[in-house]
Parts: sequence; C-alpha cells; structure tokens
Amino acid sequence: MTVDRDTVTYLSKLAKLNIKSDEIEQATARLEKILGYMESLKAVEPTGGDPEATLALRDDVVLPSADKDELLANCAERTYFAPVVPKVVE
Amino acid sequence: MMGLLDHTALELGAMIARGETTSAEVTDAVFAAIAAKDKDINAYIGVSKELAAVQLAALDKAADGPLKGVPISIKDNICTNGVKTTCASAMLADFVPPYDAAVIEKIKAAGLPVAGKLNMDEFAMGSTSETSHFGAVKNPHDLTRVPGGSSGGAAAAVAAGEAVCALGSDTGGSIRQPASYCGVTGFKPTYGYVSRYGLVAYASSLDQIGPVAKDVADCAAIMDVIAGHDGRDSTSLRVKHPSYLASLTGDVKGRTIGVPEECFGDGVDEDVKRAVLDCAKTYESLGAKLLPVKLDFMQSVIPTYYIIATAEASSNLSRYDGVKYGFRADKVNSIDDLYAESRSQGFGDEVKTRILLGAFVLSSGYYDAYYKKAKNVQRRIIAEFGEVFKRCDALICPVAPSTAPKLGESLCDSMSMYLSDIFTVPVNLAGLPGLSIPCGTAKNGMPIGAQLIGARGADATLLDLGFAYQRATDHHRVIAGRA
Repeated sequence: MTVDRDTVTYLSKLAKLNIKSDEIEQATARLEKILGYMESLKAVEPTGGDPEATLALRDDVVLPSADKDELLANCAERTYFAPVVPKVVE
Repeated sequence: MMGLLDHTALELGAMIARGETTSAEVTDAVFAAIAAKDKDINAYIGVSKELAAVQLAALDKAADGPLKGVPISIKDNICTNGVKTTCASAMLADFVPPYDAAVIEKIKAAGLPVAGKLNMDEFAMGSTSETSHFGAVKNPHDLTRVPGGSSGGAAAAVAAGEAVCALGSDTGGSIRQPASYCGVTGFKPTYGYVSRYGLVAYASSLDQIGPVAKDVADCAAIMDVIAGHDGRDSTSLRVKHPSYLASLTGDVKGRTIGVPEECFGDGVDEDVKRAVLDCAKTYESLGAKLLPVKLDFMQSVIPTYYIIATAEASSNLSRYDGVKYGFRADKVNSIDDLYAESRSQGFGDEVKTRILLGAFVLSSGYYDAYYKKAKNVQRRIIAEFGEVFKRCDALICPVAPSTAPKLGESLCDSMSMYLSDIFTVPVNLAGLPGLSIPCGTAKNGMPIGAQLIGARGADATLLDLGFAYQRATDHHRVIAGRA
C-alpha cells in the first residue's frame, strides 16, 4: 500500500482536520506503515453472507427532553436559545 | 499494619454494614491516598469531593447491598452529571455533562460514592495511557513503566491503593491489559450486558464498560450493580442476569479449559508463557480438564480490529465540531475553518491518526477492500470462537505478550503498540466476556496477567473460574502487597 501526500491531504479534508505542511510527511509515513500491515487481510478467504440483523428497537415512549439551558451551558458562544457560529452564508 | 484501603471492596462493605467503619471514613481515606500518591502516579484527572459529599448525605436512601457505602472511581469517559468528563482530551477539557451515564445512575442508587474521575488514553485510544492531554499515568509497580491502557488510571489507582475499585471501559483490551500490567483484576463483560448510555463513544460496536478491582469477587459484586437492560442503549441485551456474586462457587470440577497454541508461540515473553501455563496447571489440579485448541484467525485479528475500530471512531468523533460543546478554536473566518481548526487543535496525534485511518478505510475505492472485508473476517472470528466453545467452558491465554513496557517506548511507534493488543482484541470483535487475573511476576518484577475468555453470556462461569483460582492461590494478594 502506497500512501502519498495527496492521499493524506484528501483524507484530512474528509475528516475535517488541518494537517500542517511540516506534519504531512510524518502522517504519511505513519499511515503507510499501518495500512501496509492491514493489507494482510486481503489474503484471508471471505466467508460469504451478510452480517445478521441484531438490532432490537425500543418502544416509542415519549420522555421529557433535556433542559435547554443545561445543554447550552457547554457552548463556547451562545444566545439564549442556540449556539453561535461564524457566518455561514456569504 | 493493614490500612483501611488494603481491604477489598466487599470487605469494606461488610465493615461499613457492621459499623466498624463508615462510608465517610473510607471515602476520606481514598481522598487522602490521592493527595499523598497521585503526584507520582497521575491516575486521576479530577476528584469529586462535592458529589461524594452529596451522596454520603443521602446514603440512607440508597438500596442495601454488599457494596453500599464503598467509594468507587470512574474512568473519565463515563458521563457524570455536573462533574467534568474530559476523555483525557483538550477537546472536552471543560465539558460538564448535564446527565449521568446509566452505570452512574446505578452506582448512585446502590450507594457507592464517586471518589473521582480517572486518567486514560485520549478518547480511550491507546494501550499505554500516555496519550492523555493531562499527562501519562505511571505504573505503581515501577514509575518508569506504563500502566497499560486505555483504562490505565483505573488499574493504577486500584493497584496504588488510591481507589477501592473502579469502572473502566474496554474496546480492544482497555480494562484487561492495564489490569494485567498493574497486577489487579479486570473484567470485560459480554457486549450488551452493561449499558453504554453515557459512555463517550470510541468504537460503539466494541465498547463495553466493566469493573477493575482487587479481586474477582469485587468484580462480581460490581457487575451485580451495573449489569442489566437499558432501553437507551439499542445494543443492550434483554437477558435475566443472575447474581454474579452469588454465582461464585469456586468449584471448577468438570470444567474444560481450552489452551490455544497460537497464544503461546514466538513473540510472547518466556516469563509470561510460564506464568500463564502454570495458571492453567493450577486449574487442572483443581479438577478442570485442559484441552489444546487452535484459533486459526489469530493472524487476522489486529488488522480486523483496527479497521473496524478506526472506521467507527472517525464516524463517532465527527460530532466534535466546536459548535455545541467541546473545544472551539478562535480566530477563524468561516464555519469550515471553525470545524477543522477546532478539531485539529482539540485532538491529539493518536486520535487524529485513527480518524484519518477510519476515513481511509471507509472512503470510496477502499471501503470493500478494508472495512467490508474486516466485517467479513469478524464473522469468521465469531464462528470459530463458536466452534471452540462447543468443546470448552473457557479459554486461557496471556492478556498481553509482555509485561508493562517503559514509558515512551510505544509513543513513537503506533504499530508496535497495536500489535501488543493481539490477545485482547478478538474478545471485543466477538462480543465475548474476558477476565484478567494476576498470575505471577516476571524477572523484571512486573505483574503478569492470565486471561480467561468465555462464550457470549458465560460471564458468571468466567467469574467463577477466576474466583476459584484466587481462592486456591494468592498471586492477587502477593502482587498487591496484601499477602
């Protein structure tokens, strides 16, 4: 498995992470080593079949919602009813 | 002279019930031990004196039980209402949950005061407890060595006498491996036996909360408090749990214990092999039958685990965007900048590596070759375990190939750290229960742990096997200096 700088830049965009240019080389080497090891899985024969459905849904019971002020207490910036974020629409 | 905190949780519970000591006395002793020892060990991120005081004042209202009044310490990825829950990350350094995890509701109802929140690898991603934003945890048996991870704070605190008992979480060995490195007992229950509601998610299909304590009986008593169905966790199983404590008989006659040859080969320290095989022989002397077995999948478990775990991690950690809670970067120009800068500054290197790996294995063009293949191999692992457990009541193998490494050895090489998880990750991949019990000491003076693995739902049997060993031997007391 070859991982290059472009791959790491692409992945960091997907993951919404800014990797500094001087860190890309190290990140590329780390990922290449780990993904190279993961390649060993290719040699394993597939078993066939899809994973079984194991979900058991709970009954749809109405419960009280969390307190708005308690939830907003962890926001870095807020109004009285919502988090504040930088301008989204230009 | 034996101090208050040399007693097990059950002994302290009995002493409190008999009036020989009080819950307040024991809780104060824990706070005093933290003040005296934690500068060296760094097992705690925070103490919760206010919460403990509130609980102590209302102790009369708690349900009666063998652990009533016994303080417990909590890994800092389990939400505690009104008490900081940081996941050892700068991302959540100031996060105060507005609710309790299901296990916290249960321990409060059972009258166990919460003494504090325990250090760990950041977001439980690591096997050494060195990736914490709040500094590395040290192994109480040798301060130049790691305590294991990611529940390293839990194991180190119990081993150092800074906690009577603790709750940790185990995604790939994070309870069992630090228990082994620190010479204490750790139990990872069957997936779905303990609610994950309020456990900060790392890899949801593998995460499970469980106890870390001085011995198996304490772990069983804690399981009686925390196990049970919870509708808020869609993977919580609707099963009738026995009393795990009352299920401890110490009788292993007629049990068959499988010894997987793949777990005793090259790459495993000789001291570790010897101690774990001696542990198996002890079971034979107690009346159990040993059966050599093969686990053909062992070479596949590390890639399978790290593909599935990082895929789930990259998805789970996408919620940290700097908006609703958690770290927010300043001096940003746009919403995209806010997301990327908050995440880049808020997460540490190992977390970022795992997010990138997860993004890779889920990305277009690689999904089938990595994630889908890993899920397929996971089914094979589950099926093979199923075949083995038709012939055995449990398996025995080392918890880890070596004893605790030196601090710093793993930090620069993620891959070598991942490889040390080889004997613990299959248990999570198959949703099985796993128990780590101290079984001796290596030439370097460090504790060695044996791992017992059971079939899905065989938690009571597994704990009983561990109990039998600890009744017949005193490794768990010798290593802790209590013999």
